[in-house]
Amino acid sequence: MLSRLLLLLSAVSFLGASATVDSLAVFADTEDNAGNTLSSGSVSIADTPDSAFLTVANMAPGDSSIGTLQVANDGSLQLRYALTSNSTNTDGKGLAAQLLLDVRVQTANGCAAQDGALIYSGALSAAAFGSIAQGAQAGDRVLDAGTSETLCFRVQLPVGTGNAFQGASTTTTFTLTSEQTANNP
Amino acid sequence: MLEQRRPEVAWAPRLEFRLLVAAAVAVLLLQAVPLRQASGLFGHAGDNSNSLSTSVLVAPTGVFVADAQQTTLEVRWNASPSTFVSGYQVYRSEGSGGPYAPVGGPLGAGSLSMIDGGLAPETTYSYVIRALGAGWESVDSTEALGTTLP
Repeated sequence: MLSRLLLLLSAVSFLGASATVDSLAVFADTEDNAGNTLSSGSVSIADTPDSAFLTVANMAPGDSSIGTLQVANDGSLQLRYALTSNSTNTDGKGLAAQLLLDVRVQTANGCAAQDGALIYSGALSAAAFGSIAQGAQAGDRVLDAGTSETLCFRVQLPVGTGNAFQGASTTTTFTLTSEQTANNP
Repeated sequence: MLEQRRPEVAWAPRLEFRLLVAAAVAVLLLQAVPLRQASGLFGHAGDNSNSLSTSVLVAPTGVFVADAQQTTLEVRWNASPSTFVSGYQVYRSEGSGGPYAPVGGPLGAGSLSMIDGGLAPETTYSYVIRALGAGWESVDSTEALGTTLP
């Protein structure tokens, strides 16, 4: 069986070689066209500062604090991005669920004015806007290549927060996830 | 006697060949994992970690009974170091160790003493003070004991 298969392959190979010899008899010409450059774009999101911007210690009921975060599109393609968060609760007091967070787009008046578009308002523990699911989703923010925007994060410990929240702490990690908008409706 | 013949095997690859094929398939599968990860649309993520914490309303210190009369005791204390203290609440118990009951209403932040009246003569009372602020109440201060005069 194997020997038959080898015989068949040899025959096919021989025929192919014959055809190649025949084709050399036909006049042919080739013209090159150099200088065509193709490159892929990039999606890159950057945050400034690239470290903690909302560190608040010793909060008492009624206290609030504002942090600013600049989000920039460092890539060469337009992007859309979403924000997700994760808060710790190592002491079991649930501080992140008690803290209220407003996220606004900064205006010319600065973050202190708190007059920008509100893109998130709720518990710090659930802070998010947009969606990391592929494609355009409600709440996604769009940035053209080379542009940026500044977000204002205002966190507040509400008046009426009970005694149980004394000495509580949490660490919240905000994650910015971006994707291209081109060919990605 | 019938001749026993083994059935003819059309194509039986050797063990080495089968192992070689298995290794090649494994290599292809391993390469497929990063390819799948990279096959999505361009994306990039950045993380930013922040710490937030609340304060603790600290109880006043240095609580003591400064003066004793037949039916009154004067309690004094040092101010709480917490910056958002709005007042103090005095608690009293007959004997030592509680349970404590509030004596009157809250006192202002500037009040660092209180004269407790209507007490029984020749009786020992204990006092603890709690700081108040922003809706919070501190834990009990250390206990101070005093005995009314006969």
